[in-house]
Amino acid sequence: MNPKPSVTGFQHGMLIISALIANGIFSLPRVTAEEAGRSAWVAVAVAGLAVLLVALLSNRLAGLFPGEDPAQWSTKLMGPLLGRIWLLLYLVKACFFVILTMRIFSAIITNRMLTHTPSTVFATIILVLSVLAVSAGINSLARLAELSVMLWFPLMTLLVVPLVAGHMVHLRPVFGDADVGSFLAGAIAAAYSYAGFDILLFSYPHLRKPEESVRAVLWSIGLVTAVYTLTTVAAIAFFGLEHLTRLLVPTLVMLSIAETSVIERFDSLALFMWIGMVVMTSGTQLYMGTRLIQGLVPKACFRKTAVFLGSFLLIASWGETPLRELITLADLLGTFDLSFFTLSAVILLPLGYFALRKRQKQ
Amino acid sequence: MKKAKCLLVLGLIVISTLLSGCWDALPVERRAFVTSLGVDWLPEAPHLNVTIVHPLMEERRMRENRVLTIRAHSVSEALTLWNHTNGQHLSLAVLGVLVIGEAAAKQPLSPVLNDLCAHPDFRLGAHVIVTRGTAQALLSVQPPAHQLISVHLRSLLDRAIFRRDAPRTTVSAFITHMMMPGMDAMTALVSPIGTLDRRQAEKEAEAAAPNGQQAGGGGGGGAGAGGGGNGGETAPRPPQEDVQVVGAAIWQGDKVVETLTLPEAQFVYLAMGKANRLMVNVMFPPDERLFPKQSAMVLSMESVTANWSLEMVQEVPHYTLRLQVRLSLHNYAGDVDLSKKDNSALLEKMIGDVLRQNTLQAVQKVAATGGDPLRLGQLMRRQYPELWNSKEWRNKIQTAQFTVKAEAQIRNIGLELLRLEPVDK
Repeated sequence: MNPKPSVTGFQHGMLIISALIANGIFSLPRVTAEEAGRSAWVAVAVAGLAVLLVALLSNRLAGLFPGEDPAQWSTKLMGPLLGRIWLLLYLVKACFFVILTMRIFSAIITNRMLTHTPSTVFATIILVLSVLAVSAGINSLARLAELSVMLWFPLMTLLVVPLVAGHMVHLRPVFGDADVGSFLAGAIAAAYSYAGFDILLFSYPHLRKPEESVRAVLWSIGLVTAVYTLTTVAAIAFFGLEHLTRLLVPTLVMLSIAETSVIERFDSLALFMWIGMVVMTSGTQLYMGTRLIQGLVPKACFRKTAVFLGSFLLIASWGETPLRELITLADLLGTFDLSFFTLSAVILLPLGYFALRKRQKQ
Repeated sequence: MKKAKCLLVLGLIVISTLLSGCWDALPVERRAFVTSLGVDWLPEAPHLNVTIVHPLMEERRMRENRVLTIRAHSVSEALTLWNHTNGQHLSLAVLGVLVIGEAAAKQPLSPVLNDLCAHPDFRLGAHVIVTRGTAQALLSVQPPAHQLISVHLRSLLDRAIFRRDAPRTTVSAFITHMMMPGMDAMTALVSPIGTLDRRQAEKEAEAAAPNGQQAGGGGGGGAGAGGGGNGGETAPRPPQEDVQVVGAAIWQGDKVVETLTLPEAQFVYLAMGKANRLMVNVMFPPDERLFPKQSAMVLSMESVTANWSLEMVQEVPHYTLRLQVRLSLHNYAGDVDLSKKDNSALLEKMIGDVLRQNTLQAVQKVAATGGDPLRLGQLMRRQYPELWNSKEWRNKIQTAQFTVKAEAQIRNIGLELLRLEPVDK
């Protein structure tokens, strides 16, 4: 914990974006379209709004404990036993998240470009960089997030190419292409892409001006929702439903269509630039994991714990897993993540208010 | 502290061996970048004749065997055979064109596309072209000024875009049209053409005469193609040095069901509303008021709006196309002053009638094949979802009725009010 709050509202927002944006964007249009059909982009937008609501509740929860993160307030709020169980669950989720993020990225690269390079090489690169970023503290992580998002953001302009080349007929009818159940299933399938917003719970105590957090949460999740929705619109318009649902990573295929006289393979460029975002996503989860271990073992040294956790995750992620299996696992993790935080926010927020009132009375 | 630093340095050195990325290092001379790929179908098994062109082969080899053909059961098998023979790593990352021979286009193309898409670096932006004759013959064309055939074909289609007589179809767009019910692909139909250099043609014809059809040079189990030779032909002929767009191929799913001539294709593009900047050569019926002598005019389409509407009458789709065209005259064959409103209004009406008739004929011809490049099925799906049956659509579209209404507006008549010709001489 930094003694002096040093993260700005803008960095707070960028941290949330970087924790979210690398997850599942490559497969998002397909997984939602498989369930929600042509209305998939609406399902993505609805999922974004739901996540925004949960994020605002989580932000409120963080606001009840100024200067503390979940590693500190969970045991105070839920008691030593329940608090530790909650921390442990959270830690397991964060570890799975890091492993999946690394493995999916590695599998995409080894599937498309560097077919002979072992996935472990990419996992090592990502983990080494993540550990370095985390051990430098939340402030450095936030600054790295700013840089990564700004480097990555121009790539999103490439979405204009498939949008222009696509046919709007593929998007119609906007509603009614799938029944309500399928539509909701589509929105739930998009959950993995929105996983990771909980970094706000950990960066909140470091904010210079905590009152800026609500605005940062609004614009950052709003921006991510807009990017995801636009990506899904572009993918449906460009491929059509029949083609889209047969592509494993449609966003990447879409990027490979954009060509200029200088760069013919934007997908390769996108993958290399994406590494920054993947490092940020795994870095934020690693940071949270490290803090959660500190919550469980209060005397643990932050840097040593980060290195230890990174090494453990490298060993845990060793080996090759087919991309299709990883994407199935990611869908499950996404659903768990959203359910975990929705339940936590709904249950812990009243508890937090109760604890706050109790403190005020005392 | 010193020990920790030593461990860190050691760790970084060990990691650097992992991070070097040498597993995929491949010297460029061991790579073969395929720039064009041709697919032909033969009646006897193995049915596929796959033609490969890559820049080194094009530069080093003679005209007679500058392309390589491999006969196999599938594209994958052909590429594997080639790989075994040459030992080179094949890359489809810069593939410019995928040429489908006339016979191959009538067979299902999806197995070919599936084999190609299994290559992780397959370029989805490659253009799909159907050729008259064989793909082998088209890819054997040696374009002027030693241009590579793939570059020549791509620039041919890029140039054609501005005339809108052959909007390019990428592999990705083709797959989408192939898969989606209620819409089909329409690709450029090209053909090799002879040389304008007569002496060169004669020289090569003489050289070719004693041996007849050139052969050999293939490797990998296939036979190299001669300079534009079609299988079975023995008489020498001038080598083909250029390629031209001769029309369009209409697909139904993954098979070509009909080919259109260039004028017919232009009117289909007009019906699609994609005909901006199209130049159309239109034949007008004789008319005493405007065309006493000649009845052919070149119209330059400057703005085209095509609005399709659909009504179901006794479960038969009735499509109405409303065309609004703003155009300029590239030539005027009549001898009345078009700056007078009555005359120009009369000509606009006549142009509207001719466009209507020609477009209707082209649309009817396309619909009769069961193919749907106009995406009329998608209109049906949107407007009448309860009547939409994707499996029956190919039969349904053949019974569809069409009405075309066309309005033409002349923007530019040129600088001459009347024809420039000798007066009283």
